[in-house]
Amino acid sequence: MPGLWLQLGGSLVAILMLAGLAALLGLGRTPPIASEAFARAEAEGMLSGFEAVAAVVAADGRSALVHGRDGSVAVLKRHGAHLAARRVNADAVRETPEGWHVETGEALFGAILVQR
Amino acid sequence: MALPNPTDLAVPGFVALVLIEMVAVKLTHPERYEPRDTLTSLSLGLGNVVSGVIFGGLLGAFALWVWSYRLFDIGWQWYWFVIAFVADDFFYYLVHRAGHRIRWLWASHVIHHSSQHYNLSTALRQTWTGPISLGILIKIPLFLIGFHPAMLAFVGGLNLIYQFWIHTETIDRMPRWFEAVMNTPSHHRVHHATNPRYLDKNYAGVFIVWDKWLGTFEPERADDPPRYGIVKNLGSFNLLWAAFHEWIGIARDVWAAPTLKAKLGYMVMPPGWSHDGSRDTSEIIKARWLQRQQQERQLGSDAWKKPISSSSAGDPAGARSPAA
Repeated sequence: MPGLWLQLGGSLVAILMLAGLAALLGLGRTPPIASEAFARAEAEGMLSGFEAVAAVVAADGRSALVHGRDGSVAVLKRHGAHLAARRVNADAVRETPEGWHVETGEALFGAILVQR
Repeated sequence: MALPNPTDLAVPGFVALVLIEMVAVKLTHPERYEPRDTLTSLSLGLGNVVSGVIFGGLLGAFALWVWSYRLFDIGWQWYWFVIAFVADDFFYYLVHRAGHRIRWLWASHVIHHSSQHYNLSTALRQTWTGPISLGILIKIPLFLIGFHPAMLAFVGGLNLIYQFWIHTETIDRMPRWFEAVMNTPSHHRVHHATNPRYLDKNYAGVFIVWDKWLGTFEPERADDPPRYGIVKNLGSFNLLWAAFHEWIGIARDVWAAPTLKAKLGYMVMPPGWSHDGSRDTSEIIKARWLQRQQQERQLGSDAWKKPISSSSAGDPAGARSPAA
């Protein structure tokens, strides 16, 4: 049993060391969403059946709204070194002076602000 | 016979190789690692070890009980280990395929696929709920044939160690003869991809021949680079959400399902199945993609048929004068 605790403790130390090293090496830092065309292509690539017609990329490049041919909307957000996407109804998007607030309905995905 | 646990012994090697891969990608492909994803993946791996400690005894006892009804007495000679390794790898294919096609098993396996990265830390991103998924039931024939559970656990450990190194983008292709028989980084990248072409393909552990034999093989294509993760990516690095999200999904769906048949369906039908057809299975995604491919090909071939000059247009005789 003591050996098991030693093994688990050692594993935890190794985990923290490796994750820390990844951060120290600057891994996972990626440029902002490059363009509306890129946002459209990503939305179509991540959401089966979604046909993009227009996109708005946030001013900080960390999110985007992509309008679909069927009236639905894809919201993209930076998720580490990649993007994550959700498809929502148009009424989940609320336009404000700051930008577009999107309620995904998922607490852990979060609500997204696509900044002007 | 007392056999060591190969994966325990391999852990220092795993750590070293993850470290080497991180340094290797730093200059050329820094996006291949992400600190929070790495932390989540490795923490899930640690949880898998804890789960094994907690439930391993129960699973071992079950396996021994089944083995007590064995048909043959298999010895401990080296050649039985070789045969066990190959047989276990075939059953690994079966369990793995079931793990993608039956939602109850998928709920346990999805953890491994839930990273949008594909690196050696992804190899260690393992389930906490394997014992609940009951995948061991598919391996009952091996125990009944007569392979001792300890022998199968040992060769199974070797199988997992083999699969560690194939979780990388730093190796493009192995020699053709190797790619023909063995599971490789290229074959396994396909398995981890959500591109419609690649969904539910390449279930192999060590030998890719099972996929080629049973029709689930798909080669990696340069014009279709893998997009990693799951069809509906988590969008969160939350450890507990990664570990349990699909189980929570099953619970919600079963609770809300209108009939007993639907409730059962949400547990055992393929991932993405819904009683009202409102969601996408991998078959639907593939079919939609194929249809789009065909439409694009048709558009491309139609473009060649369009007239490019008036001399190739139809005979205007009989057409109304523009002055009319």
